[in-house]
Amino acid sequence: MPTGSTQETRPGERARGGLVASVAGVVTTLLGRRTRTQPVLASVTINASPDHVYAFVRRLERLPMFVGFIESVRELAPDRYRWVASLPGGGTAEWDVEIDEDVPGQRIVWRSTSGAAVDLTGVIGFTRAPGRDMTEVALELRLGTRGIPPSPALTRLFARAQVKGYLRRLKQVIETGEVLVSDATLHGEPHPAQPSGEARVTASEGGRS
Amino acid sequence: MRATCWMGKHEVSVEHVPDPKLLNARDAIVKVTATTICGSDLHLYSGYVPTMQKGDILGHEFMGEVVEVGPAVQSLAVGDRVVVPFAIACGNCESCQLGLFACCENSNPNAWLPEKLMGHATCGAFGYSHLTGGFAGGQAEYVRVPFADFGPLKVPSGLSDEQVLFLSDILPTGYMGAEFCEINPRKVIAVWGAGPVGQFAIRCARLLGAERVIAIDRFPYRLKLAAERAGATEVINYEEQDVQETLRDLTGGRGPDACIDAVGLEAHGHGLQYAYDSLKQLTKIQLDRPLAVREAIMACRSGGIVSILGVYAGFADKFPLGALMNRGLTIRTGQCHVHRYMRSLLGRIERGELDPSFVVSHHLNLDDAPRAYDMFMNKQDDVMKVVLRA
Repeated sequence: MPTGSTQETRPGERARGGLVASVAGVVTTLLGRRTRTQPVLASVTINASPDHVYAFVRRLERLPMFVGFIESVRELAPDRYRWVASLPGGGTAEWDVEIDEDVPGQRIVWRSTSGAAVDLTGVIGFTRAPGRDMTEVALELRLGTRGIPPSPALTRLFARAQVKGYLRRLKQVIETGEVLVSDATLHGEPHPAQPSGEARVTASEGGRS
Repeated sequence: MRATCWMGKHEVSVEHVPDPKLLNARDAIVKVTATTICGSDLHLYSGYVPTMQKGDILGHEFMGEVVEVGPAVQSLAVGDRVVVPFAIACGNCESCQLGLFACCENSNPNAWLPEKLMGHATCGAFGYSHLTGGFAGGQAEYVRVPFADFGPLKVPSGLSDEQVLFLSDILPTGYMGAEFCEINPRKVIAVWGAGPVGQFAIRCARLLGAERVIAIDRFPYRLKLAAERAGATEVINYEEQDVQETLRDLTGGRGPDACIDAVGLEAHGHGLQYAYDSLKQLTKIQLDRPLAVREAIMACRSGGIVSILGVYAGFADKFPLGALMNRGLTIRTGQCHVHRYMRSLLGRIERGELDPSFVVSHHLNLDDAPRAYDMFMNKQDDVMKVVLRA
C-alpha cells in the first residue's frame, strides 16, 4: 500500500490507503522527502500467450535485450542472479537478485539480496488479455532505502517513463525480434534524423540487442 | 550521399550526409529512384509540426531499388524494385494484425513523445519529425527501411515510376478517404482540396461507384484537373462561390452524403475565422487551422460521414461539436494504413483501371528540392506533384 502522494500514486490506491496515508503523503511531499519505497507501476499488452511471455522473461539473462542499462545477468545458483548495470553518467553497479516467487505463466517476484548495493524488489505479472491470446504484462518495481541510499542517477533509471520504456522494448523484442532504432535515436542526445557515422547505442534510449 | 534536409522554417537544402547503414536485422537499404514532396511535407516546411531538428532528412514518398538487406529479411533481394509505405509497420503487433498499420505499436522508437501529446503512441514514419521516430526520409539518394520484410511492395518493371510511386502514400490515402464514405451510387461526395490527395480521393470515389463527386478548391488549374482527369462531376471555386450555399443548391438542400477533408492543418480561407486561426497559429497558441474540417462538418447531410484525410497535429478550437452530435454525423479518419491498400491498388493500376501518373506536373533533380518546396508551397507554375530524381 503506498504511503506517499507522489505522481506515481493512482487515485484508486490512494482511496484504499485512506485519509491517514494521504495526509502522510502530503506531509512527505511538503517536506520534500520523496518516499523511496514508492513502487513504480507500468503495463503493456504483448501479442503472445502468457506462457510464452513468462518463459521469455523467466530467462533473466535476456534482461539486457530490453532494459538498456543492464549490461549482463549471470546465474550464480538456481534462483540467484548477478545483475551488472551501467549507470547514467558513467560507472557500473552490480547486485545479486533472488527469485522469491515463481508461478509459471502467471508471475515472478524477485528482490536484491540483503547485502546488495541496490535495494530493488520487483513483481511482474502475466494475465491473458480479454478475448485474445495476448498477455497483459504488469510490472511493479520498488527501489528501497536499505543499505546505501540510491543515487539520483539510479533513481532516474526507475522513473515511470523509463520503466514504461523497458516494457515497450520487451514487447518489441517478443513481437518483432529486436528493439527498433532510428537514425536519430541511436544517439544519446537529441540528434538530427540523418544517417550517423559512428553512432553508439546508449543505455537510456535504443539498446540494440 | 545527397539528401534533402530541413534546416528551419521555410528552409530546406540538399546536403552531403553519411550513407545509411543497416541498423536492425529486418532493415534494407534502398537506392531511391524516384521521390516526391507530399502536401504534408509542407506542414514541416512551414514549421507547424513540433520536434523537427535542423538537419533532419525529409521525404516519406519514395521508391527504388534494394541494394542491401539485413539478415532477417527473406522476402526481398538485392535488385528488387520496391515502393515503400510511408508508415513503418512491424506486421506482428495487434494493430498490424487488425490491419491498422498506421497504428503499429512497435515502429516508433520515440513512442513516449506522441504518448504525451496524443494519449497513445503513433507509428513510425520516414522523414516526419521526431514524433514519428526520427527516421531519415527518402528525399535522398539512399534510405534505410526498417521492417523491410513486411512493408515494401515489389513492383513489376512494366510500370513506370510515375504509375507506382504514389502507392507509397497519397493514392492509398485518397482511396481510404473514399472507402470511409461507404460509397454507393446514391451518394454525393464532396472533397475539400483538389491537391494530389484530393484528386485521388475524387478518382477513387468514382472508381468505387459514386455518380457525383464535387471538388472544392480555389485554384482553377486544380479544379480543371479534378474535372478532366479525376472525374469530379462538379467543381466549386470558393473564391467565387459560397461553399455551404452552393453545396446545398447542388444537392437539393440535403448536403453531400459524405465529405472528405483533403486539406488539413494549413487550410486557407477567408474572413474573420481565417484571420483568427492564422493569428493563433502564428502565436503558437494553436497548431492547426481547421477551416476545411469545420466547413465539411457544417455542410454534411445529417447522418452523413465526414472523412478526414488532412493532417492535424494538435487541439482544434471552434470545432463544431454541436453540429456533429446533434446531426448524428460519423467521423472517420486516420493516417493511411498504406499496407492494407497497396496490393489491390497495384492490381488496379496493372489492369489499367487507374493511372495515378496524371497528378505529376514537374520532373526535377533532387538538387532542385529547395526550389520544388518553394514552388509547391506557393502554388507556382500550376504545380501539382513534383517528382524528384537523384
